[in-house]
Amino acid sequence: MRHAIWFETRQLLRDRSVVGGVLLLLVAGIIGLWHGRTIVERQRETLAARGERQTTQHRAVLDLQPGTTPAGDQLYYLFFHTAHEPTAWAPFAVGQRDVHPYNLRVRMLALHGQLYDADFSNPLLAAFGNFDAAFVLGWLGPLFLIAIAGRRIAHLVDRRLCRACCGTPQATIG
Amino acid sequence: VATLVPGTLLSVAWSLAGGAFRDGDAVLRASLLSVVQLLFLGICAAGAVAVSSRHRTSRSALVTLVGAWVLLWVVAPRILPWIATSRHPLPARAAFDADVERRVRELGDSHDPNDPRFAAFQSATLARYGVSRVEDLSVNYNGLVTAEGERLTTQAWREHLNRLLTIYGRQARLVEWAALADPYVAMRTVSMALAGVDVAHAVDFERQAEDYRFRLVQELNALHTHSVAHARDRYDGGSEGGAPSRQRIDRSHFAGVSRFEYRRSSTAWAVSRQPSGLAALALWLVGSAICLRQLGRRPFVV
Repeated sequence: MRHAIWFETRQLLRDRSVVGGVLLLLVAGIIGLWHGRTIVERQRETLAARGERQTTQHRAVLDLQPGTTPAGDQLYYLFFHTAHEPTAWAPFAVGQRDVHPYNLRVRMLALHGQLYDADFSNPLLAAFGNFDAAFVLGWLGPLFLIAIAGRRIAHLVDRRLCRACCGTPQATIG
Repeated sequence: VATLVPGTLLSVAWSLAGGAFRDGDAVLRASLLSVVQLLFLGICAAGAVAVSSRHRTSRSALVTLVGAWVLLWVVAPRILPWIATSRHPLPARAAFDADVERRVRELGDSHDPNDPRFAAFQSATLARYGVSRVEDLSVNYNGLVTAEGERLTTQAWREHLNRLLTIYGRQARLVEWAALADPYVAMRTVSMALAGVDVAHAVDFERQAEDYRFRLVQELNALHTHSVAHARDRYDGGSEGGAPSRQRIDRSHFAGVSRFEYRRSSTAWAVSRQPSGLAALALWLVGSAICLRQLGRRPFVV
């Protein structure tokens, strides 16, 4: 059996279009990872700036109010940043990170509406989807597999080798 | 035909079940949509014929065609958003909100009696009515201040929103240009416009909703200004459970408050929003026609 796998692999690698396809898939995977990384890096940058943004906003609000202002009046205007940090695997599969909120700013007022304050994304572009590594693995990979498997079978059929091959006991191949 | 018959049957059955034929504009949109789909299938067929005629075996033709399909239908549409967002990046939501807040703060705090901008508004109002104290005004000054504050903050929000929409627009232009190289993107752009589900329609609805919100708030502010006396505008500082001393107005006042009615955009408007998508589709059509004509002139390779 091991010999059979080795034999098939060698046969496949002799086919230039298969090698080309594998290389293309590899390049697509790298591009996908890179693209995922740019999206996630942007989110990381936004999240990294949240501390400074919160301090600036709090200072701007509190500077306008005298120190004797009741706490409730102060809190009313203050935003507190929350963060859904991307994991190390996030660039691999962006999923819905780009359309769902990851940096909610919450305040005492109008609580429920804040939950849907997602970051901006052009709906036109969001509808197209992302070219991340998960897309390469889930979409292009199977397509390529189907193509080479189909090609191998067609190759055998064309040369009328299929019947000969399938009719031969396994021991002879191995 | 194999593609057209089931598709047509399905859409006609769906429209009959939903009563869509009673709506003239919807029928027009559906008919145009069918024409666009038909043209698109024609372009696909022409492309397939043109590619096949240049290949010796059907298998190699199929490989080229499937390759083109993967590239133009699957990969390119996903690369597009990347190019568009890196060329025209959107601001982070937190940065955008912070900008709007800063702008609103610059415009002044309408709740603060000592705010310099609203102090200027107060003296201008007093001068206009020819009185020296807000209590002497024939209208309720509090209503006027709220209306002015609302006008200014709305203006700030709209300025920033328009900036954001401008970036969306630039990104959309890029997609429309890509339609010249990709018939799928061209068809998609035009179909979404005709179906009324593109960004232009979404933004149009948001504008209408925001206009309505502004109108509604200002109508309520006008009620406050003209129907509530300034002297009876505040609670008397009693406990929270105490009877309100502030004036209440009759429910009949609210009968005149406007209701939201969505103005549906016409087919002509929808089409006019996507000129480049249409142009791209037309170019693809002309290209396929020329291709087929040339094919007809020469004998097949096989």
